[in-house]
Amino acid sequence: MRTVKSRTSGLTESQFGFLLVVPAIAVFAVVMLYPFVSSIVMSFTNRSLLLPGQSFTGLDNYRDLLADPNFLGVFYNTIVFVVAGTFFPFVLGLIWSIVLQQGFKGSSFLRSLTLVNWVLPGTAIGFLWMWVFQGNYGIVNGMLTSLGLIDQHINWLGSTEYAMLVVTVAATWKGIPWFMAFLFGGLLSIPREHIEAARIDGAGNWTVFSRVVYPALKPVMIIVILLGAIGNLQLFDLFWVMTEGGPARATTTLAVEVYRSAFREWNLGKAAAIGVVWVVLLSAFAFFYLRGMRDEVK
Amino acid sequence: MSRKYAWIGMMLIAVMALAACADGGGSKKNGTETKQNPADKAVNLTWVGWTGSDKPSDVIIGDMISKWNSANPKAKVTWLGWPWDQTLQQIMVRNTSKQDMDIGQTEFGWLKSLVEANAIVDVSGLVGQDWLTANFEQSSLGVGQVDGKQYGIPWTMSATSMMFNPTLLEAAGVTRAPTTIAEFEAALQKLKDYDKEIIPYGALTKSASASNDIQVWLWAFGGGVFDASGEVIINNEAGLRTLNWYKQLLDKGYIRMDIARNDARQLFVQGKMGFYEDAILAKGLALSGGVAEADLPKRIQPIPRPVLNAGDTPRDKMWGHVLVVFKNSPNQQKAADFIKHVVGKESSLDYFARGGLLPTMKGAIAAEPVQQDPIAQKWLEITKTSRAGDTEAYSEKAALDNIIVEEFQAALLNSKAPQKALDDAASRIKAALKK
Repeated sequence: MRTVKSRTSGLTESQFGFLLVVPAIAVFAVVMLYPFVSSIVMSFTNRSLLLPGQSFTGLDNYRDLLADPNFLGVFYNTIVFVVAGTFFPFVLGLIWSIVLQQGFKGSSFLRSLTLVNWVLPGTAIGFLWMWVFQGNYGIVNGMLTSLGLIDQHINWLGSTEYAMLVVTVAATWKGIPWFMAFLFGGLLSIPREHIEAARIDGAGNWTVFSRVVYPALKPVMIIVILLGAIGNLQLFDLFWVMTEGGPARATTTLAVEVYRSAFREWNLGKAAAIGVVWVVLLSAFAFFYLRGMRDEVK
Repeated sequence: MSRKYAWIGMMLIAVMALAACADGGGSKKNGTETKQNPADKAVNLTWVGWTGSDKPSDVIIGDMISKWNSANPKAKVTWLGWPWDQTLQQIMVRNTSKQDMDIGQTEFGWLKSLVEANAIVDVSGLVGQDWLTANFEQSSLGVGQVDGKQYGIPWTMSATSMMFNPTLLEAAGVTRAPTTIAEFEAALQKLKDYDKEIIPYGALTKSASASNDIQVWLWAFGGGVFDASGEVIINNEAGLRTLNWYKQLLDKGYIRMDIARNDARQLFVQGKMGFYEDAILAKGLALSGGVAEADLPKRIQPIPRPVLNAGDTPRDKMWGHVLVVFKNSPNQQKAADFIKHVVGKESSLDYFARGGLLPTMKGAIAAEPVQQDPIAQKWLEITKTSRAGDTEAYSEKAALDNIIVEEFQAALLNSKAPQKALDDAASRIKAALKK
């Protein structure tokens, strides 16, 4: 280790370096570490917004979660949404980024326009799609009726079969620009000569994609899928605005359940326990994300 | 960099951070010794709630505050509001972290939770027991009481009544308002036959607030969530009959899924709904929705809830807002004085004239504008046989309401058999109360 001393302060280089990171560590400790540790501790207590204090209850909150017949459904809903809500915007974002990368006239404008979805607040997007899929006067039912595809309006958000689908559609619409932006950047980094060389050798579109584009884009794809999945695991606003987790818990995810436990049941201990389960799930994605980053650096 | 320095530094920071957070995050002014300010010292009061943030009542609330602030420059009031469905949680969180709150607007059903959270005080000592008994009926005071103590002063109260669109019903061939459930169903069928686009009855089927209306129908069928001794009875025969009736309404197309209170309000004002349930604020909403005052009787008429058998007493749910004083307020006396100003005759009659909400003070109720208003009189009549919702007696109200709605939805959508849904509701309610 280098121990070169500064002529003016008398600090070694490592001491000086440590001083520089102290503010960042302080912010991390206050903003992230303390709440995180506090949440874990809380998950072992009966902390409630109705009670002034708290007492240690061991694993009771976790036992209650496992005994709750509805919790498995919450877990299932979460997984279904994370998979579908990541897969569809990824695929559509990839297709759209390839289209925009062709550089046709107006592609820059379209690229900017696509980002509007991402800029809009989640609550506004929720209300927008609620209106589109409104069971009584929504435009989707109107279109399907006028095309003769249905003779009775479908209650999209009021049915257990369709509610999750509608939220996924809204999340997909919101997510496409985010995936598109990352993948577009990845596409730009692929040397044009490689693609042109493949074309000269007689490669078709699929061959160019599978042999040239995909291998070059794979690290970016993995990262965006992982980040997208993490984002979807945390998604709350669309669910709460569009369905409040209903009907009949059909769209209750971990994020919704944490909110309900804390602010409907006032049970902060249970909410913290669900949060810990949630973090464990997130950690799996975070692990693969960090490993991917490490491999990329190597 | 030496690991030793890094660890020592991190431990020091963590200790400092935990110490900083341990005192409640910079709380203010707690403790009895600082509760009252000297009379000559200027103070600022914070009034929390939702009405002052909603359109169009924000202007009315703003005027109430302006009048008080002009007359009391040393005790100025500031409004801090949130959407209705977030207000209770915001109050709870702010109470836990001891943030500024002096006066609060709450629903009747929230009082139990706030008392249990030790957030509000008995106001009878602040406003004077004599003032309370001289100005309010005992039944009005009752809605602000928990365990015999007066925690809230009633600001506005009526019932969440059934109401119908007379023009629409007349067009559909319904000549008089239904009084029994059988007549009600017949009217719904006529509305459906008249126009398929119309939703005959806007029963709430979305969000936890639907529980309030479900509970009233449970009463109509002779059931309830709890019996008089507090036992859970939602899954008894009357409960099953109620749920089966709801399901039948859905199957016949009289009600729809995914209807929240705001959806019902909008569709009713637009003339696309025959019946729905709401409090007297429906009148103000109709006016702000473009209905001319002269047309109100043709567009909105409150009726007592239809009963199972002719001659039964109609039951509706008591609805209203109370004003409370927070325990953490260092200006409790000033806060109570402000409440007197808000519920007083001048302010409450102005609120009635511009917002349609009924006053609670005897003098204001007896005033000519209220007595001469036919819609207000009908609501006052309905309120006489109304009572608080079953879940309002519990601090876990929000959780219980959620359970009831989830299980009703499950049965309506055929995810569960009705009896199974009610049994699940009963066991979940018991489990929620056991915690």
